[in-house]
Amino acid sequence: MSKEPGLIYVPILHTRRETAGIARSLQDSANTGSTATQAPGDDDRSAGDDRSIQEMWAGIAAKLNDVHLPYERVRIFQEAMPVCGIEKEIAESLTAQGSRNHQLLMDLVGQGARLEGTEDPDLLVQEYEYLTALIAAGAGRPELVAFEEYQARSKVLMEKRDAFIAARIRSTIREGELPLVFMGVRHQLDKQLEGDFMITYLIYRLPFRKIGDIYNV
Amino acid sequence: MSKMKKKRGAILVIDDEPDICELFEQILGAEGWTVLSAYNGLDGVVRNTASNPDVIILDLKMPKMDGIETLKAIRKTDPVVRVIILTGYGSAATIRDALDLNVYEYISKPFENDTIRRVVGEALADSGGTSDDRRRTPEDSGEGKRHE
Repeated sequence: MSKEPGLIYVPILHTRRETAGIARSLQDSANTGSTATQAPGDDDRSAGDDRSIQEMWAGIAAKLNDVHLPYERVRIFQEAMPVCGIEKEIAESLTAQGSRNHQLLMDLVGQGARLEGTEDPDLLVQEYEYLTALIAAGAGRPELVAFEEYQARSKVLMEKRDAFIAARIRSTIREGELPLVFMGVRHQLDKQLEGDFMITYLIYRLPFRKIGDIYNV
Repeated sequence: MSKMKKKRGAILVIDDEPDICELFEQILGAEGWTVLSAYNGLDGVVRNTASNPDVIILDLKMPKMDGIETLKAIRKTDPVVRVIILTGYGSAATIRDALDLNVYEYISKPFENDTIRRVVGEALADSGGTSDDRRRTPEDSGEGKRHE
């Protein structure tokens, strides 16, 4: 039997709006002490895309319910959740705006899990600026050139984000605790963690094409 | 022969477990769709070429030629067929591979029958490719199992 501690890894899809929203929350909280209510790209989701996202999260919630995690020992790491001291407030704000992702986080916190700051705020703000530029370039339907430029820049940034997150998990997790990691499918965080943790992948449904070109991977 | 009116749309199931293939034949055949089965990756590649289905349901874990290898082979000649990955396991790496190979949906086992029906229906509608001029039907080739 392996002595490596366990880690639950949940690959997710989410819209650019969600990433932009959380980064915007971070910026606004730094400027005004309050969290954001709207983010760029708010109008870029069709009803079908929204339904697919909702179903994905409902499925993930059902899967989590099946595995009966000891939530009093679970520490949650969430993509785009900055290390900022107001993690729970951000999750509450985004839940109020309809984010099924963050609603699930709050449900798990309600069961005893701890929501941990996960990402470097500066790197998240960079991602937000890239997204803002991309959306501005195409008013919701960006030109291919702008999208490819965004992808190239974002890929380099993602490597830095993953390195930060991996270090964050290693430094915060305590003996006997179970990390529960919600991470976009394009991240390669799992590769950085597989030497330290026995990773179990929790997957339900990933509606790749239904969400089309608006999801942020 | 059943009198059920056939819907337009052909689905190829590639899975090494005959029971799973049969289950799909029952679930999707009952909807009136044409369902073909292949029990290994190589046979799946051949049947895709021969029958030109609108949607493929592909298991990831198969002996010899796994699902990702099978899909890579399919994509060499068919960049448009809608592919639904179905698996009992899956690492983030295989999901990334699937994303790169233009997969429509990724669903883990166990699955709800209603989910499969809906996702296949959406994939068929999204393909817009169920017209007879896009594909050669299994009837033309005389291949594959069929539920009518």
